[in-house]
Amino acid sequence: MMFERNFGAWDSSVDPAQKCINTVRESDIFLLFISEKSGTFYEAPQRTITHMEFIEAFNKRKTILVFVEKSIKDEYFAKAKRLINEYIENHKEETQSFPSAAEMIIALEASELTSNVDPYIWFFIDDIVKRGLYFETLNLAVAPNWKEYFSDLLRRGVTLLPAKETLEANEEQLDRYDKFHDIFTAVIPHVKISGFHDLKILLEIFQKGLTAGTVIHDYGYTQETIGTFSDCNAVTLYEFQNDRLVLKERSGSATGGEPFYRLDNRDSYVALTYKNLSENENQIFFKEANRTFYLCLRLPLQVMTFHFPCGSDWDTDKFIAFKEYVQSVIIDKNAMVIDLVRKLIGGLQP
Amino acid sequence: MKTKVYVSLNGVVKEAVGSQPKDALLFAPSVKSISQVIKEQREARSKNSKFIKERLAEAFHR
Repeated sequence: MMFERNFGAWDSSVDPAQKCINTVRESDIFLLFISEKSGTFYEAPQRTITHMEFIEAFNKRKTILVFVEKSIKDEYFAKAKRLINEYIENHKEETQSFPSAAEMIIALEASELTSNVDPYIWFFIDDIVKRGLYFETLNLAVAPNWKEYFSDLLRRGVTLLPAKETLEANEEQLDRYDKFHDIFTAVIPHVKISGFHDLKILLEIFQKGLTAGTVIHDYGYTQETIGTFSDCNAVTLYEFQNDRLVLKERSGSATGGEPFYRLDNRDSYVALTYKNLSENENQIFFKEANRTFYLCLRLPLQVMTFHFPCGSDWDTDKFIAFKEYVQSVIIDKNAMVIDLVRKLIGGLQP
Repeated sequence: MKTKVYVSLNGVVKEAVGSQPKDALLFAPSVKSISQVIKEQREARSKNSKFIKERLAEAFHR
């Protein structure tokens, strides 16, 4: 586990940087201490060796404990974080690309940040923060309570050890479901779907399969609940016929749907979806007066709409600000069911 | 990526800029297709599964 003890004798044929990375790969825990010195900067990867070791530990999902010297941590959050973000945004605006580490270092060197701290340190800490890692304050006068840290890590490991068989059994079952999904996906296009015994019951089943969600904004260190929406409470299916979309069936509380919408009706989410989207695309609608999100799915000859009632705290401003989050939660949670709809209803032969 | 929001009101569709009336129908196309979301979810699941199996094997290796 310990780096120095594993390092062994230097082999002149092995690149020292690669040796460091390999040793991190073999480690169980990565302890990172950050003070004012950053170490050797490698031009080609634009990173220091310590930074590359950290990236390796992060990518290999090692247990990582980061300690940052207090004055540096304080200055990062008070000044450096904002300077870096401003520099990146300006650079992106001017060049349509992200700045390199070398460019960032030059900019940080010229800034009003503490001069005895290597500028790369700010860049390194910023990378750690952006990866969502928590770090502890390192007080040089007081040693970290190692006993407490390692006791906690041991407790976590010991708690999980008895779950080995359960986890393996679950993974095997998931692999079987995954394989079934492959077969199912491959089979459906080869089936001629000419109709359904009871379309209303089918829509009701789909309706029950689409579930509620919470829209969350993630700030990295903390999360904020933006709002919630309830389980799908209605489904409608409209089919394109001549110049209009005709209601084929509906389920749940979708009682207000018109028998048909002309294709040029620009107040109808059904008509707007059919006219503006390509096959299998989808879009989300919102009307504050109805307090409902409408997920409309454009199928080859139909438009299927799923209604999700939302809380009274949702208004037009909030929808405009967080529409991607709403879409993402509805689709991420319900992707498999929506895909089944796409395959079955969309696969219906005219 | 930020997508545009459109508003449909009294038969007119335009980009939604600023506050909108309560009875306006707002809409925004999805950035990702359903197939893309499922593909990403399955890849993530497969990667996580591999990771769990590897870690269990490593933890119990003597």
